[in-house]
Amino acid sequence: MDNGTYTLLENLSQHMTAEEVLYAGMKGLVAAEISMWRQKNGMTQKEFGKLMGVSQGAVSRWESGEENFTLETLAKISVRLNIPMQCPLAADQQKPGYTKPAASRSGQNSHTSATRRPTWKNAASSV
Amino acid sequence: MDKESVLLQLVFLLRPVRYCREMLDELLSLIAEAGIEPKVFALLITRIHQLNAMGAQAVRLKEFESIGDGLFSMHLTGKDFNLRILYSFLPSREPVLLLAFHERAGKNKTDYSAHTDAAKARLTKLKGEYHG
Repeated sequence: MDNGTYTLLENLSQHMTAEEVLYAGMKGLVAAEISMWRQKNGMTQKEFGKLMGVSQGAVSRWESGEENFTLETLAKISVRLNIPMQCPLAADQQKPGYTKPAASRSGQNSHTSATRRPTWKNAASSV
Repeated sequence: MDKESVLLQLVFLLRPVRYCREMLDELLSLIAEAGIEPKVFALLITRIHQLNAMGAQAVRLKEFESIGDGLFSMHLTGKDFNLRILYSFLPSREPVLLLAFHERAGKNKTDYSAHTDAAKARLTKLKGEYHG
């Protein structure tokens, strides 16, 4: 696993708690999935808002990475966009098979030797 | 769950991202005293995820733009910040983040001329390291 990404995120979250990091990360990922789905389906934010029954402003907020989605809203998005939603909490879920880089500290260059990339599942699918 | 575990989860969900150390230092200095760390963090996660998923096609999103000479810009804009991160692609087509700077609040049309030379120089160096 590439340790550069870990170092990048670790440095950028120096003053954040674990909860804040996870919260921000989840918001960011959901925002990305929504905006990519919308773009892939050729919709403006206004059109997407109409699909979801919300305003264009709400969609803009969703895609800004700042929205604190409720489970209800995520369920609505999942169903209407036909994007599978996994349980956000899974106690028996297998942990990723890697460990923190041995020397994760400031100054580390990300240009280490190429590493195997994790499998990325495209959760977004056409309606 | 400690912060290390949380970060590892996020790393697992994102594809690896390459970046210049100088870019990280610039970004850190930009967010250091403004109290915007969580917001920028969330938005950077968004942009990295979009960039890794869409590659060069990310410019279809309004938060990304092509600025010529193989350079691109991603916008990280919030209520209290307006940042730009210049990036390009390595021969392997992996995106690499090159340079970060602050844009004036409310400004959408950016003059990149002050930053492109530095970004290109960093990219040239990285390409050399990549092939070396």
